[in-house]
Amino acid sequence: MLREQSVPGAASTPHQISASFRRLRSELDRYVIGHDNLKDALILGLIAREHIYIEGPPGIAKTMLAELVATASNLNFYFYQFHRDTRLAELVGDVVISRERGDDNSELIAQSIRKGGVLTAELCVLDDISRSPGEALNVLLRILNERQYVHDEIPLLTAIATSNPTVDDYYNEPLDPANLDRFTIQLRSDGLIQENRWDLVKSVIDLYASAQFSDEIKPSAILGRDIFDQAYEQLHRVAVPEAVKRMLIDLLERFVNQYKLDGSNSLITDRSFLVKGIKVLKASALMDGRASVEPKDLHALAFMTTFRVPEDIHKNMGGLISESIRRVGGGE
Amino acid sequence: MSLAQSLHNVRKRMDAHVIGHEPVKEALLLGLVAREHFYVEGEPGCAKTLLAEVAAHASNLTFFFSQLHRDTRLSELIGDSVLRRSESANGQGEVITQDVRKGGVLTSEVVLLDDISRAPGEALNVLLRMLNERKYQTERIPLVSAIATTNPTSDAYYNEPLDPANLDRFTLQLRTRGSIGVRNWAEARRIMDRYDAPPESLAGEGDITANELRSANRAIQAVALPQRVIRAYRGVLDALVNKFDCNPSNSLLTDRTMLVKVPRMIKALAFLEGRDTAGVGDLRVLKYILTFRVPEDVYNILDEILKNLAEQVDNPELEQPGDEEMEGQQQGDQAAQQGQSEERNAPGGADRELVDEMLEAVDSDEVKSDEQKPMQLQAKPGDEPSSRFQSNPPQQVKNLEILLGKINGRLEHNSAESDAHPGGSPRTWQRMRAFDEFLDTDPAETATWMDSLSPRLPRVFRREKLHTGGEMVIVRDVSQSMEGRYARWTSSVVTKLVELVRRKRMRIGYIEFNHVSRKYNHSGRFFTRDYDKIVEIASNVVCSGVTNYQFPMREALKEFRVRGTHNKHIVFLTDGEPTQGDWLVREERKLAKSLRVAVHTLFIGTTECPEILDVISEETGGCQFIAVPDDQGGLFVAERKSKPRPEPLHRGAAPVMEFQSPPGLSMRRH
Repeated sequence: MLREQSVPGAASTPHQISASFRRLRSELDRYVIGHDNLKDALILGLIAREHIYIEGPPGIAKTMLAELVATASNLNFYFYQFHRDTRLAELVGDVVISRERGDDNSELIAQSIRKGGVLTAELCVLDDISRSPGEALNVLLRILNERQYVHDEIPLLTAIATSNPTVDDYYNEPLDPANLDRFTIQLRSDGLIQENRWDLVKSVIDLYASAQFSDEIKPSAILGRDIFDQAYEQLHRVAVPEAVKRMLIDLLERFVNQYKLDGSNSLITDRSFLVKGIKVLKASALMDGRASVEPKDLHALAFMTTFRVPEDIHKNMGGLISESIRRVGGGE
Repeated sequence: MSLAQSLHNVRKRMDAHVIGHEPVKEALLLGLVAREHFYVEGEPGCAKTLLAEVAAHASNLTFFFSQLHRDTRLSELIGDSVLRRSESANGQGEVITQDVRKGGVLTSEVVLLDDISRAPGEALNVLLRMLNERKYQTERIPLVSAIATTNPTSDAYYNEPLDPANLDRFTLQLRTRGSIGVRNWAEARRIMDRYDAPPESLAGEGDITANELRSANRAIQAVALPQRVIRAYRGVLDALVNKFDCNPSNSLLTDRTMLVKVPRMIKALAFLEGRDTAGVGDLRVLKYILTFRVPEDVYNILDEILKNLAEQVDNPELEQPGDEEMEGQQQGDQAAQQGQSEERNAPGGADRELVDEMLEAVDSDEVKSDEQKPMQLQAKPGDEPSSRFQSNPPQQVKNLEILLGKINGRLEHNSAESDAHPGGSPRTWQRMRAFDEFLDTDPAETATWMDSLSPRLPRVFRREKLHTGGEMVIVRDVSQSMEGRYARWTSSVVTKLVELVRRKRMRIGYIEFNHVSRKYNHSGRFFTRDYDKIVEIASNVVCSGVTNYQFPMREALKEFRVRGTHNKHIVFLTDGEPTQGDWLVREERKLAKSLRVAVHTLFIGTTECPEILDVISEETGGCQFIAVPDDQGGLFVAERKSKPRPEPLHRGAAPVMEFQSPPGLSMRRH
């Protein structure tokens, strides 16, 4: 894999960041038709440095997109497919047995970990995550949230997890809410056929029938670590106007008071909506090339509510968000 | 820098990183100065771990962090497990010993045990013993305070509640919630503003030194604990035990915690607020102590209890407030008057004089809890106080024990068993069978094996997961004829059944039916362990319509189709014959037999029990009961025994039903 020479200053303004990630987007478009939602979510997650969880039936480009993003981002990446016997040790590198000379000429034998896997990657793809027993995923919690393992920081920027829907047929278990909450960005996806997108269906058939297509998918490396770093630096400078914060509070208030969302049917945590939510709004602004969040960025929150609120509420999220924008924006 | 200043700085640092959560911050400080452990439970994303880390870093003590999970072994928490090989003394061979290179909990002053309830019991028990005695084998460990965080215990989180003995090690306990959950929008807004900028790192100089904390601890001992405060505290204990019925089945009030630790914490709170004498107001520290030690509804009115007792202490002539409100309270006249009556019901069964002695002993010379051995836990080991589960009174359903006993017997048949499962906790050893098990071997053993290969493969953990002990579906008639008393009685029966199921850690599902069938789902799942919810739903029924047995049976059996292989029960509660559908429920009986589901039937009423209920129960190996109204407006339960039937079964046949009738009870028969 060739590493593209990074252009200095290629991501130091919102405009440039937007352009860089649009290039990434075009590369994805070359191999995957449609799924704009998914692509948007992935790019938002990359800019905001948040984790992404995608759930959907087999064969709809979930894993493919995740891998494409990983390759095109030009980041150090680790791919792992979960299964029923997955153990912690497989995710974090190699479990080794070390032998040292003790002081009294004895030999000390101890177990330790030679870091690898999730601990050394910048981007990781956790495929079929819900097939592993729920308990095995516990160890990921710390890694994903605090980006720490034992006392050391890890270089992980973003983790992308995919899964089939958790129904009995698939021999998997639903992610527990604590784990699911670590994935700020969450999506459900369906195939093009299921969604009746026949125009896109035709494009896919055309693409894969064409002569220029070989079996191997080899996307170019578009970005690079420094671009991500610069983008993240810019993220913090994006301004969030007073009105937008009020709109977000209004939305949360309506969740709790009007739609009766609480611990029994939802998971609306301070961390996700007050801390990460703001980052997602800023990432949405950056993706669009702006230095300041606008009310329309609030629609990016729909990428957060997928498994945190009841399904019928989530389906209406666009309307709910527009309503809060109107209520606060139109004066009280 | 004065001690007070340092403490103030720690508090400021916590405020800088975390908005709100005042109780957690105060409890963390208390834990540090009083050298007590702290357990905090809350949903994900409400700053539990963050605050604990801030407190730990601010205290400038050696710090150990561990995120616990199902594979956590004790050895990971106490350092490195090593194997030592050396030549034997006479130079003729080799000596291999197992040892621990101390680290982790053994060498740190502040320890953060994140997600503690995910760790397997084996590792936890030893760990928590160490926390309490602050000793490893015979040596003391430098531990000042351990902070444990956890998510609420529910099925969704794949964790198990800490057993009460372990929980008692954490003197300080709190539940915490995010600001959105409690609709504190001002606070939510401040959090948003705070995180608009990138968060500060936690690294850097701490605000308080180990020496300062030690002198704080000494200063706490010197705080005076006046008699009136002791009296007020005694009043609280009294109220909890006698007025609010805190007993071993729903609470854990140990002598160790209530009589030794609490007085110390009262003093610690006074110290933290800069006083050298404790006041009655410092009793509010009980809010940090009783969280999981008394039922939730009692905990929620703790403020009121404390306020009343504070008033009482100030006004000795006032009667104990709320006396008149006690329903059917026999001890009205024995209610604790201000310091005068001979009250015999202090916790632990000790009488008042002994309690006083203990309280005074703690106040006068600092009794180190490590050296106090005779304190006994009030609850017997293995008893789980159902502090989160309040059972409704039986509503005059007599003889329910027969039903519960019989069903319990059936449930015991396939009681919880451990079974091999790759998702389970490592519990016992077995020989390795294939190399893919390599990761689960004992490393030391493997190392030596590799040196001298032999056909005897190293040992491997056998992972076991406890079978949940099965599932029960309660199928309950809500047709028109069930309205009124029958509905209430049935709700009581359901409540008792739920309690039974809860003790067995089984899952439970609930279906109501008349001519249609209604299944209750919780968060998308039918089977649940949210026992309180089931009781709640069962207590609010609306009866109407006619009766169809087919639908509910089918619904219930459908749910069993995808479950495990054993211990499946349906308890069918009805008062009449089906007037719709296949009254013989032929298909359903076949299905039940093939799925090996036992259908227990309880017929309520004075008419003849429909034969089909007998048939169902017999064919599937379920129990049979009948409940009849008695003279006093209650319900009496008995076993049904049906005589052998002439074949084939058809409507209109009138077999003779025999049941045991209690003396004096009249029964109407058709």
